[in-house]
Amino acid sequence: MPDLLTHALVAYVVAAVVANAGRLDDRYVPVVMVGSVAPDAMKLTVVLDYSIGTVAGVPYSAWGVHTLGGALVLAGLGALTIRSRDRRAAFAALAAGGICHLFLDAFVIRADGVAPPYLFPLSTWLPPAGNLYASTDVWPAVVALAVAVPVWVWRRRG
Amino acid sequence: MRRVATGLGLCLLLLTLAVGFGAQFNGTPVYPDAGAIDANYDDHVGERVHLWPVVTDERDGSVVVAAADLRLELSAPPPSAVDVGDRIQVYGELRPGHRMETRAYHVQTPGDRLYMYGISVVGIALAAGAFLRRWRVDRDRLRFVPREND
Repeated sequence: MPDLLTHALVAYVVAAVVANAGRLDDRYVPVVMVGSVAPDAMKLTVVLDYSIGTVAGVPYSAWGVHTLGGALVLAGLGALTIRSRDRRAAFAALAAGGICHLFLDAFVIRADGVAPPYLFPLSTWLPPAGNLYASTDVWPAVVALAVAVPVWVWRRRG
Repeated sequence: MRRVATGLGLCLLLLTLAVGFGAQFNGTPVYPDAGAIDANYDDHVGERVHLWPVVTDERDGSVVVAAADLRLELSAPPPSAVDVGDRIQVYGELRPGHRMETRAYHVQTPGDRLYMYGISVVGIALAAGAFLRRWRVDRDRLRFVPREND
């Protein structure tokens, strides 16, 4: 993954452009941002060293949450916290943020040249890694800021 | 009540994804993990593996790394390029004697990881702050509602 600031800023720019085109209500722009950081909730299991294991002989991997299926289920869970009238749109916004996250992650440097199966459970295909940035690189956040700040200023003036 | 039931169903779906992914990929996408390699090292000699070990030492001009209980000597990077405590994303072929012929690698220092975690906390705060500027908690019905009157 790039860092979560980059994820949130890129999601903001994408959502802001869509909102400016009249295709998204302004109040859902931050919902897309929340959706863009949600897939990395599973990274807590990585930090705690519980991301992969076996319970009662059943293997599990929290990386299954860091997939298209996981992003959609997390969007569903998030949408349940929103009032019913906005729930469908909130689900779409959260899911869009999650998909944006996985798209950016596809460009992370992988020493083996292969990205994880982000389309799971629809597909187990391992896409070629974009190998554009490491998760610890500073420049993705700098570029994201350089784009997001003018967009934010432009929206405030508009 | 229906919302709680749906939430529980989605949590169950999340667990199913984790178990399904674990069963499909045996814990890691396509490679044996460090524990499996360490348990039967000789069986894995000749295999290509992708690991995220930590630099622990230098021996005979090679970097020594550890992932769980597995210890490996890497053909690259050179010891001069890393420090003890650095994490290396390494891809290569296992050789006899707990050695790896490195094909590609990427080094993360503790400082790199500190930056990643720190800036990520800023990202989470930004997303949460932006959300709470437009949405508030309806305490009576335990849900988020827009701050504006619509």
